[in-house]
Amino acid sequence: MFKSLKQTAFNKFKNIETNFHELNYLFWECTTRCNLNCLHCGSDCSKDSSFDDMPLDDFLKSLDTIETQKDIITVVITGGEPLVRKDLEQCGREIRKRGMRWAMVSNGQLYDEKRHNSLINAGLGALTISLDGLEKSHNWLRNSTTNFERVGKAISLATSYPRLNFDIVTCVNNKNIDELPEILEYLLSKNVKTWRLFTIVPIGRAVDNPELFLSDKQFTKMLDFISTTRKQKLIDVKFSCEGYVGDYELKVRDTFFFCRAGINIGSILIDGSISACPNIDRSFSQGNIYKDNFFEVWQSKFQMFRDRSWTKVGKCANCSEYKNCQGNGLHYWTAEKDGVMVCHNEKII
Amino acid sequence: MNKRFRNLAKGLSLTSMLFVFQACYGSPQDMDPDVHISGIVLSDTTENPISNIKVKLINKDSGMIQNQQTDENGEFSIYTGASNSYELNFADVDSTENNVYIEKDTIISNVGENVYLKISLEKQ
Repeated sequence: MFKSLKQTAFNKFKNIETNFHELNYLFWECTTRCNLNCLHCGSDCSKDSSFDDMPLDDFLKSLDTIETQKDIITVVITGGEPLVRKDLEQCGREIRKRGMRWAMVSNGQLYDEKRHNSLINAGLGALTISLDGLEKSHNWLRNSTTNFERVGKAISLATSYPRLNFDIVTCVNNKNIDELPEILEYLLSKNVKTWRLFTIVPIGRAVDNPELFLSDKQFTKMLDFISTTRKQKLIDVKFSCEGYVGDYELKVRDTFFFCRAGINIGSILIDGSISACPNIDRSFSQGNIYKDNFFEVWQSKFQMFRDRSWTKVGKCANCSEYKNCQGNGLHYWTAEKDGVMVCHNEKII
Repeated sequence: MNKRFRNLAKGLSLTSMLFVFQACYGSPQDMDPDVHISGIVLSDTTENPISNIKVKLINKDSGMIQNQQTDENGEFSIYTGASNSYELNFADVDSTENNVYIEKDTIISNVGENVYLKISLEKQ
């Protein structure tokens, strides 16, 4: 009853946020080059990307179109692997000069002491590194023989500097689902404070690898693990905001599910496309920085992200939970818009 | 008006961290306030900038240490956590020709969001 009231209030809050449409979080896909070749990569990134890195000046011209308060915006640099760019520190400093904070998502392979120091000096405020299991399962998913060891060193560096808001993300899959308690022990031993778990989306390179996806039983097991671990308060563990999980809402994260893609989250992708999260179908792009004014696009477009009634098709059409879920995470929709790829709530047994 | 509605909804929902959200595949956005300490290191005789001077910054509240070398223009630029005071050490080490200049320490306190320092080093 109390939870239901909270959900109702939260839904009102979501409506206000949706109408307000304030840009708070801007992804920059600065490169699609990557030094790994992960089995699950949603972007199909590789060492020899078909795209050149986006020149910093092109990105800055877009930032300079933003006419709103700057200190409410965080730029999250992503890829590909951002650390393959030699000018990353300069990118960060230019973002800071414009009054915004910046963060980065990395695979940790190139995160050594020298780079850690220069990034911190350049105002890096938050860092997310992927750890996808114990050594064998992590290196399997990352398609690497060295990445687990490198990530371990990167974690030690990141946790040595408390001002850095640092978290670990783990793609839970068939190979690591039974290792979650051991991964927790490992993270605690490395003094990690925050851990986010998510599942793998059937897009990009992942589509052809069924080993990457959790069965319904495994998915429920993961939610139970998160719920139980949260009660122990040893680490701030949560299920990422990737999907609606019905009865597990508030048990596996601090707030109810809310896909903010295109509501508060925007992105500038490698080809200049203006979109929401980088893992959302590229056909949903709303413009391109090479021909449009970024902030005008943010303010005048993005209707399909703010009005999600088009998602009420397929299994969502008659779902009793639709008002709380609104079609799940938008990255679970393809260009055809003919139904959600994954319903997390349906997977719970 | 919109902001008032947002705050009201935040209270009614009784959940925390509503505005400090995190994209599902992104990084956290709640970050501690920080300070930008930058400046230039010059020779006190020629007033020319000196490159490759090691700048060591000690945050006196947290004890955290950050290092940087001055660039080809003698400049340094460090973002660091907010603190009541900072100790900065300038040393002519880690370069091809070392100990040409006498090491110097400076303490700064009660700084705002941005500090710019002009440091002169004496020759040995």
